[in-house]
Amino acid sequence: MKTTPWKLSALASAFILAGCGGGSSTTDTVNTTNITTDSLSKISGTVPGTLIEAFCEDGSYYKVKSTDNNTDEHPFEIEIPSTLSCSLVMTTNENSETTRVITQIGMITSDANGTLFTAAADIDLGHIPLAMDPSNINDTNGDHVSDDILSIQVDGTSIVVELENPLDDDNDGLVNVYEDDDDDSVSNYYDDDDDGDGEVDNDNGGDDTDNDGDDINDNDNDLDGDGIDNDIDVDDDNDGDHDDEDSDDDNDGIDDYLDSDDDNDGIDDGEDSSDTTTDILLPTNYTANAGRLLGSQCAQCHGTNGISTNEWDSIAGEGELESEIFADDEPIMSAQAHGYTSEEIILIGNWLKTLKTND
Amino acid sequence: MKTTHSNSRRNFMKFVGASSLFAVTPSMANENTTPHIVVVGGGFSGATCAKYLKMWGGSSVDVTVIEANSTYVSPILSNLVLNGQKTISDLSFTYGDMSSKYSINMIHSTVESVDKINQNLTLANGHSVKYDKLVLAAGMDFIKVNDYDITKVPHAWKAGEQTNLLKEQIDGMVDGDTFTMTIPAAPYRCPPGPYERACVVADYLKNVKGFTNCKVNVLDANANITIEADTFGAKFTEYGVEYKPSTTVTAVDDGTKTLTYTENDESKTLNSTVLNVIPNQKAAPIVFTAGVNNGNWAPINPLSYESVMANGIYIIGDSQATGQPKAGHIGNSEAKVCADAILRTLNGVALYPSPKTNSSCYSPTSTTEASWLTAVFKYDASKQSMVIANKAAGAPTTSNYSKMFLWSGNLFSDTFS
Repeated sequence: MKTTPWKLSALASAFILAGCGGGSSTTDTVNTTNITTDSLSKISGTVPGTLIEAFCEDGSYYKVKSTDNNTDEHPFEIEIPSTLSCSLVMTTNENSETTRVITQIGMITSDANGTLFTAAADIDLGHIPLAMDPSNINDTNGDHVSDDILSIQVDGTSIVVELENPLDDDNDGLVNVYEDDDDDSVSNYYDDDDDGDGEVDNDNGGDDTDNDGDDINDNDNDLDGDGIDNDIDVDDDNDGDHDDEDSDDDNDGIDDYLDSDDDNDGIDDGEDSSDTTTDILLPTNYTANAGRLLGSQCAQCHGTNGISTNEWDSIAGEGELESEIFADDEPIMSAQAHGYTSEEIILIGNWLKTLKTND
Repeated sequence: MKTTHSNSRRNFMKFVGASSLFAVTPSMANENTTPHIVVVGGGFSGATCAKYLKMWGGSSVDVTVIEANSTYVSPILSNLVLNGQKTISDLSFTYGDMSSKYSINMIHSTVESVDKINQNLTLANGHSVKYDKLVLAAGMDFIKVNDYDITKVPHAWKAGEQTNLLKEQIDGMVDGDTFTMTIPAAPYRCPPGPYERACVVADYLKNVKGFTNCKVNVLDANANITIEADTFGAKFTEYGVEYKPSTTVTAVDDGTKTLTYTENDESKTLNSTVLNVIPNQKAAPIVFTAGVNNGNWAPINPLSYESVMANGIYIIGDSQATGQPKAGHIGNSEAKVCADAILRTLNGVALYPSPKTNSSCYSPTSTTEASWLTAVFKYDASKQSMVIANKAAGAPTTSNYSKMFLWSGNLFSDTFS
């Protein structure tokens, strides 16, 4: 994974891609119950009246609505983990099937652009003049998702734009959840039947266990279709509730304590190896991950995927790698730590945070 | 979720010319056959490679391990069999659980020939196996100075029966007998560490058996103790080990247990009650069969472990020709870089440009103490090779002896579970 850090002063300006029309929008601020993280960065700016969503590499999901201040530029603030890579999508008129406009946001630095970024500090995006009328965007298949990525030129400290986005399997820049798999002019996000096979998707409470019609029983792997497998996805159903706090992980309407099949994979929890902490859930495809490659080198001493088999530390879910790794009083650990650059330790730390612990 | 879109390339309007930054991943789903990766050898590097190929590549790859034995015995900790702290069964691993857990195909046979053009292997069991990528992880082989019976003069280097044989011979010694071992010229595979072995045996004879008149000779082909020289040098003095550097073994007589060797250009002989000859080493036979050796070892690209002599063939572990040690821990380490590189290549993703590997080893020096050595290796692009990023060593202590089993426990499970 190539990453491009930059270190310029904090300043931002936005670029519009299509003319923007008028229209009203809901303006209630909704703060979802997000995962508690040690460190959050605030992404702020102003928009016409918008639902702002963040999809992050550990599968977590955040959303906020802009606040109506009786101007054309409604302020918003969304907090995302400062150590995770995330992708932003903004939707105007989100409650209207006929007028909503969905825009994937990209970030541009002096030498990289992409739709996945890590914001180590707060970023003010300035005013983002999103389109508010579907007729003003390029939208070949009519699913209200702009074919163009609205890329925002951002200067700031400690931001990293990544060129590979695990939330975007086809590498077109748009996150998976807003693709339109069956080309029915309704993006997967709003489509109860992503693959058009007539069965309601299980992530929408239905029985279709193959939402994308690729003949792979995807709910075993990725219930919410965000590209992050359930076993490492901290929010399996993208409802904004961390699974540890979510009483209904699979969004099937049955509370987990009454649900004999929490992840809706059709396998009873009692027999479901994927529901245990030692599950081996093989992916259906390969996604490059530098943090995982580097972090796998910790496994010789700390166990596969950071789960130790003995009294040496498990490091899965480790949240403070950067500060702790050099403070370790075990000389062999210290010698190892000093063989890595701080950038590598950040990559490893970000990956460790995505790993399920065996608590 | 896989998607195929007529307009799958979205426009980054700000940077019209920059869309090439988003490399399109070739869809494996469009192909009828799943790529087949065959790993020859089920030791630390081979087992790890197979496991991580499936853990990261999942159903997008088929992985087969070809391994002669149904049980693998770890050379790591095997010197502790000699002094009775471990048994061979403590160090034995089978493949059943791992192969079912990760959907790895196991074939217990050996490879007789490699057809690089048709990417086909012929096995000793008469079957043939097609491969898309071939990983050679078959350990090392010996260069014996003459033909002799290794049941009489055991190397005890490949752990298992040989280790037990040497233990029986040591346990047959009486006070006043002599134990002689030879240390091969670097590079050689380690563990079992040769200097560590000399310490373990000397301690066993002296402190466990209570023999005060036994002699332990170490004939080293190298000019100095090659690793942890301070630690082992001090222990040799403490145990009274007779250390002869820069010696070259020229003949082994298994009947009379006599070694012929040269020291300072002079030919000498030495008789010993127990003779433990560890011959010089070279890459595994399969490396020569496949024609990917240059001299005794197999040169590779450290970004992928792909042979520089043949596309699509990767060599990890003892046989590869980088300057990295030849050991189970770093074999496991190399295997992960190799597995990731193969998956990147199959998916059209550029190789990771700066891989790291590491080596760690706890070495017992008695029944209660162990030392340690560790190093991180980084890729030096200017040299196109792996170089040391940092290293450190620790003296023998009882605390390190306990930690040795925590280290090996997680290493074993990362490799075989």
